[in-house]
Amino acid sequence: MAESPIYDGRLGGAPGNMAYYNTLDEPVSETIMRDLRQVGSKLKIVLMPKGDQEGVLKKLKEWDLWGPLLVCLVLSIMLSSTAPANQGALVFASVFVVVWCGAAMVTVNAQLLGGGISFFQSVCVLGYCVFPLVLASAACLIAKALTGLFFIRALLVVVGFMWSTRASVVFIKQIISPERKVLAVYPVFFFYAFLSWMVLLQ
Amino acid sequence: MAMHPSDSNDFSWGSDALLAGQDTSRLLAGVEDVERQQAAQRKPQQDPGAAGVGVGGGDDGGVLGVLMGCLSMGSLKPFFNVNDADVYDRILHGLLVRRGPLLTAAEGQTADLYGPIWCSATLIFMLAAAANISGLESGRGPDFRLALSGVGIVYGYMLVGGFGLWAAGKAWGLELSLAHTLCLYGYSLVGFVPMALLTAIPYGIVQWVALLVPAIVGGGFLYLNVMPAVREKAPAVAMTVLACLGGLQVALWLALSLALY
Repeated sequence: MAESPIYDGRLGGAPGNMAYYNTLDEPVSETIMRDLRQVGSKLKIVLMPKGDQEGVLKKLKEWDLWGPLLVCLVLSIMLSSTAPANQGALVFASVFVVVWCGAAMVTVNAQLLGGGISFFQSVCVLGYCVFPLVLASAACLIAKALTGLFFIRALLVVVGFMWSTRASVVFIKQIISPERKVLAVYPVFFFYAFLSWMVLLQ
Repeated sequence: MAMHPSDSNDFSWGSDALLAGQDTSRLLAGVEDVERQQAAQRKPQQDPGAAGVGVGGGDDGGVLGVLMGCLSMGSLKPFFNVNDADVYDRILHGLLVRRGPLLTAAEGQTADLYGPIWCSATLIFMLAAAANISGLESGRGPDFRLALSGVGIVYGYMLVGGFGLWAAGKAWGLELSLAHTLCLYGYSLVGFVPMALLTAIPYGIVQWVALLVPAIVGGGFLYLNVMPAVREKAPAVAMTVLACLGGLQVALWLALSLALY
């Protein structure tokens, strides 16, 4: 089998020695694709939570903030592009603030109520769960172009909201004690309702 | 599947309450709250961390705790020691569906800050949404500034009411802790939330009445909770306290009606 060109000319390393593989030397495209694939797989897990609770929790412990950042960026760009001309920057900034501060507040609330999850894991999951609202926003843009019916857009946003909320509630329920479930879930509901309202107003 | 309590790569919020945190605890909790908290210790507390997920916030956040000052997790945790049933019960008190004192010392109930924080946040959102909807008919687009006025009015009411009542309590010997007064003013806002939906109807008279009713209900709730203690301990100032309570409710009603509609 032909040796990978990465290993050629390496000092002191035997050809094909995997232990010498250094991610700094791989092509940039491969680094980016690996990160994108990780983000994609976490999105899939978070958005379609299957029965394997332990597996989901284990996977989510490897939190990253790239995914939420990408999701937040896409949402901000979409919402600010459809805002009135002089309010574009304001809308962009406010979406960012709402997503990150909202996720932080929901997490702190869950922790204060006795939940057993670390700060960034929770922010990571909440950020990923904003993705259905991104899809709803894109669908709204298309719907607005095709038909001016407000009802269709409202329906799309409601579907996105329920999907987001359900995905994160599945996660939150696992980390909080049963007598305080509603108390921990309500801020999640409120956070996504706020975001849905912003999507609906576009 | 226990996790190591201190993730070295994790930004845990420590529960360091030795120096910084106690200031907040002492500020918020009066003598009565300390007794209630001791009674609450006897309430069995569930530990969800035992479910195997592990505890994310370890004690390694010492520096962070001091930096965060009085907002460390350890100092605020006692004020979130409520269950679903407790908050539901307190909401019903705020709506005057259940009369009687909000916090029953006998059962070891403590003041909570969950109610004030999330009731006011919900209220601000509802008011902003309703104001935007009612403005649509007259052609005003979605206005961000309405939300900002809402924030100012609601939080102003809660903080002025909470701190004012606490200061009055200190001056006249009522045993009302700051947490208790903030809790009372927070739950008195509950009545506004359903009425905020009605204010979306763009008729002036409907909006003014829809805001007046919860202001009265909230006033009644505060009256039931505060006046018995005042009559018992400082009867001379009862009329002053009553006037101030009523005055603040009227101010809230006027501010909301004028600023948002």
